[in-house]
Amino acid sequence: MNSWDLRAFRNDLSIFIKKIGDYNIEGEFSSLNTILENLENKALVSYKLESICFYVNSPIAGTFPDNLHFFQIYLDNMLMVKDELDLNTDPLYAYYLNIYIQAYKSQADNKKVHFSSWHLDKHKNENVPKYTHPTYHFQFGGKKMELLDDQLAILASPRIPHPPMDIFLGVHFIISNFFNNRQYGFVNELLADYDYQQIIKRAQNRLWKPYFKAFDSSNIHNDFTMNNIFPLYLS
Amino acid sequence: MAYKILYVEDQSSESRENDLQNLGYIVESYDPPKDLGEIIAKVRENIDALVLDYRLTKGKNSICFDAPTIAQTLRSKHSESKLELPIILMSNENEITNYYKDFTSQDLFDFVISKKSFGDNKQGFSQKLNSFIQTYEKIKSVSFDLSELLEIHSEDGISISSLLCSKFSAKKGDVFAYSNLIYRDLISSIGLLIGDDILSARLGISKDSKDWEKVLESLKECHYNGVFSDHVSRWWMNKVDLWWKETIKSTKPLRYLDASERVEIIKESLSLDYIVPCDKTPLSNSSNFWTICQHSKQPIDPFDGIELIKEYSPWQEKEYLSIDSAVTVIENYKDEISSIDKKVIREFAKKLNTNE
Repeated sequence: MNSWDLRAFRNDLSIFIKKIGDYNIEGEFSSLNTILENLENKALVSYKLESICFYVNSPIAGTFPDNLHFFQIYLDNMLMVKDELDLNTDPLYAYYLNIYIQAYKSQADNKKVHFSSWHLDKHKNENVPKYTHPTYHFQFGGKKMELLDDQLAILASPRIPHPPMDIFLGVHFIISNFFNNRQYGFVNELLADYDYQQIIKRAQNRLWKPYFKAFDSSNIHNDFTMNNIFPLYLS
Repeated sequence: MAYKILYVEDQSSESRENDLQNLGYIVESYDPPKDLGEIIAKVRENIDALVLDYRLTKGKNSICFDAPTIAQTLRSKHSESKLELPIILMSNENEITNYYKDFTSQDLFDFVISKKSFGDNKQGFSQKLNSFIQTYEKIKSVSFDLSELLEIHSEDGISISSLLCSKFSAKKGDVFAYSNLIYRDLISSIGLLIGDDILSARLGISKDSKDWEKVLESLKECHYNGVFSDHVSRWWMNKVDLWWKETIKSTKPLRYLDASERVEIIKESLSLDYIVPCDKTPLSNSSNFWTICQHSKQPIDPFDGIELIKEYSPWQEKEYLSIDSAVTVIENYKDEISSIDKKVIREFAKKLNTNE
């Protein structure tokens, strides 16, 4: 069984959706069910997740302006696995992940909306890049943020190396980064949940293990090399 | 005191009348006339339970209503003829359960039984029917108090989700709906309560173990003693978790351990010699058992399972088949299995056939 086995992925997703419900994570997650249904017609893991949304109904430390107390954190994720998989090539044919945040004074006081956005995508190593361009990188900004404020500039740089994340790792990223674990008891409970851990570990094995092997001198991967994923490093 | 049953069937039911009498009931068989009102009037005569045949229209009076119609009239909330008593559907049809899945029967009958199942286990039927009659009586006598019905005490630490609580609150005043909710959503689902098979899977202990009864004895505080407990054996899962922490004194939750590890810990803690781990089904990978195959009742880890796709309430856990069962009984479950799983099952079946 390869790690991108469609049955295992489907079963994991089904259990994962149930976990989100069991831990009463606030938000709108119905498109996860759509992905589950759409996988039925696929031969390989391939999906386009649009706008599941987490609600954080309290301040997130370090936010500016500091009077924002309600956040809607949207996650989009598109991922297509290559037809031919081999252990030493990047398994993904197409990929992006967007985190788009809308912040309000409160759930009731939602007239003025503040935006923030992060974009994780895959660079096709076709041309020689003009700036350092790690294969998978986070960028601040995104189309929706442009022209919001004439004092704010949105730059494509820097592109910060980060391994790709699928639905599971994307949710894991948001829960770990945006929910204060002292205030939200579910965070540590979920992170300690056996089923959750198994699902996340399988996702890590699919996407993160081969990526992080690039830092090992014995690495023989063709795509996940130090030069591709962290080109800033001079060897 | 013997319960009084009205058995409404349009064809000769003498033998079943005797069967029911032999089970200790006072039975009145009734061949319904064309007027629905007559049946309703008959039911009002201090009847404890009503047993209906759903093919009523085949009888000699050629009545034009069937069991769902009668039940509907009795169950109807705003009807003057509303009566609170268990209504059981019995039929010659073996596929009766499937047939009624498309119906609103879940909101009409307390349970459905084929005549064959009745014939195979008459005592079982009687026990189940009595349990329903007694539950109706108890719901009325404790005025819908859920804690009393489920025998939950404040020190038990059992919390019923607010969603389920509100579902119960909405059904207050309707004995059938309340009983139905307890039976279907708590007793017959995996969730707050688990049965003996799942208990065995989660403890990793084979029920054939010589000391299995001693393990159950140690768990007796976790046993469910509320309504229907005379009919089915159930355990409060959160009390089992507590027993695992406080009696067994394990620091690692059950789910993290495989069957052998769980058995070793229990053996040592309870000083038992004769408990053995449950066997893994041949096509499974994990023995971190947490559920059972709905067909074979053998323990499986849900990650190895074939999920049965159906509508689950938030407080219900998903149900699964083992791959081993699915290979042989895929046809019986074909509408409940994802196409991805079906493909995998067929590949397994092909491999097994080639190896034979």
